[in-house]
Amino acid sequence: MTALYQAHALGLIRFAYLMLGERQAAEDVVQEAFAGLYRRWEKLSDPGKALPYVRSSVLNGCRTQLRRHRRALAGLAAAALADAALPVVSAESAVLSAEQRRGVLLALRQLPPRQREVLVLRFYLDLSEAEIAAAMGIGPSTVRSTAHRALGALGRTLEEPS
Amino acid sequence: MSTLEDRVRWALRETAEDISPVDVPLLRLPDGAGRGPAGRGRLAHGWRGWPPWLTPLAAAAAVAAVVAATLILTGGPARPGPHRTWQDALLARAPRYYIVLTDTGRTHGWPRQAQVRATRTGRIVATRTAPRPGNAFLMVAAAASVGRYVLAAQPMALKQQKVIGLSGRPVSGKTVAVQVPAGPIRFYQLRISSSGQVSALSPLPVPALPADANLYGLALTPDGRKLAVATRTGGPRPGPEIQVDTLATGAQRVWTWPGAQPVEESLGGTGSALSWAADDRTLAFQRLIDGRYKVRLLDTAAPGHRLAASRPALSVDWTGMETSRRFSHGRAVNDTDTFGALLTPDGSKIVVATVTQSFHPLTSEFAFTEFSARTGKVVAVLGRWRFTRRWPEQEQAVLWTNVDGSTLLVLAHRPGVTLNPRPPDPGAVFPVEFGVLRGNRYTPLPGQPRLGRLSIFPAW
Repeated sequence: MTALYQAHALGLIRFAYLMLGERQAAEDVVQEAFAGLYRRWEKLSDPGKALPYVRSSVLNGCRTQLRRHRRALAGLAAAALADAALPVVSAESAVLSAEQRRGVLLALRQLPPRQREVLVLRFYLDLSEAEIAAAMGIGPSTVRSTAHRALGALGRTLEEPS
Repeated sequence: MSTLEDRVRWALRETAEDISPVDVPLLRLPDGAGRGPAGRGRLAHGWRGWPPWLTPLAAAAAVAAVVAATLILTGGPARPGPHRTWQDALLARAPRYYIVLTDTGRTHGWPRQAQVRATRTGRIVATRTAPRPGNAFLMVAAAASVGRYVLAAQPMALKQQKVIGLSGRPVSGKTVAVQVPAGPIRFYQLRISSSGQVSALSPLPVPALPADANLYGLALTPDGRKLAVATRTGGPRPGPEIQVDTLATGAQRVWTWPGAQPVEESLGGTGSALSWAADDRTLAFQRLIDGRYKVRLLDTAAPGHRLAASRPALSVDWTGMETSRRFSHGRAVNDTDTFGALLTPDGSKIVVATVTQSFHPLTSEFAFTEFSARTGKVVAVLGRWRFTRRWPEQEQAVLWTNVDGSTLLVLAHRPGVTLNPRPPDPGAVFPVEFGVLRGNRYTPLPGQPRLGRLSIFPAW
């Protein structure tokens, strides 16, 4: 498990960070996912299933966090809400093109959760359709159609044909 | 960017790199009892042994556990292994060490000793004495994530002053020794390595402040490369001055605001009048103007030297000392007594200790309120604690925040303490202590220094 964690923790924390916009929450979700894997050692018959399992756990953990987050923020002003779940652009990359990046991230955030998940899994984790399907618990054809719709919506938001 | 897919991929990867490899915490696993491979419950259902593919991983995990245990015993990294309680987990979120400036009992008030303490245990790891001759420490700033600390020190001279009696006239023949500034304010650094080694104090190439200068704030960028110093200009229109020094080169930039109110906080020299965002260019500073504390954000990478060019971010009512505190019969009023604001390193929030009070019934509700740095509106309230029957001292402060304000190190009245003296005891006080707060979970720091010995709050 240590080796699995060492190999994939950074990528999974970054993935959770992209979904949640908060470092601590991202770390918590990943730690909890590995704790869940630890509790299920015995039931794992195939070592190849460990990573897909923990990836799905991270995704589910992010969904839970986002549901809680939405409830917690329900009474807040819209302007504050707009700030809440967007990773803050760091100084180094700010020099390059903070506005462009912010635009893409804002457009991503406006997508429905499932569409956003598909795009992050595909374009950040570089997962195949089959892997995305396994992580999300949906069929590969649904992954394809969801990604197509997500890119279309993103393109319209960014005023660029997909 | 050629295609939409490329733009998405690029934006996600750029953003994901906000999390660097060194940010990844060590793996924390749950306690084994009843669960996991070594749990009794597992054995009761028939232990089938480790799957063959897990054997090398299990061995690695065992080695990691031994290393983690060793680090706990030696005061090593703060996240070494499974935490037995949620209090342990909470403490592990704080920086590993903090610095306390304390007097030695023979120094007439100003601290002459810097103690490096382990956050998780309170153990004094090292002590450093102020440089000779006769220096006292004034303030300390920390960049804990890189183990760099800056201490301001100044030579002090002992002066005998006459004791003033209750009548306002000197008491005949009685004097008291006090320390008065006797030389320039200089800056020194102290390093703590990842293995916990504490360096000697060494002078920094930062221009000294004159002996009669007042130091209002001190803050290191999270990367430890730049030091912000708040002081006050002289001349016909004295006003706040902020210096930013690049420690590696000694290069300095200065911003001034002639005739304006000084940069200050009301906590008594915590240094929290200044705080940096993790972008190492956005500096928050605060001033008290006409009964309102105002926090502004200065872009230190932008050209110019006018503090007035900074952006207003937050304005909070402040009613000042106890004599001027507003009372409102039967309804709560928002009231902030002591005021020290910290900008979260991600630049998104400003964290302030606040109190809401009501007179009938007599209650005080303490909290740590987070305001959006963009809109000034409240976005979160942590640790909302209510005290009844008796008015506690209004001593509460935020001393450190993690990147997004979800975990704080605070000075707080101990939650859950009920003080209901009959008859009322005017000398009774609510305990005040340092602790870690995350959401509404709070735990006091173990082995913390006694507050009565500190004239300056610790720095993390």
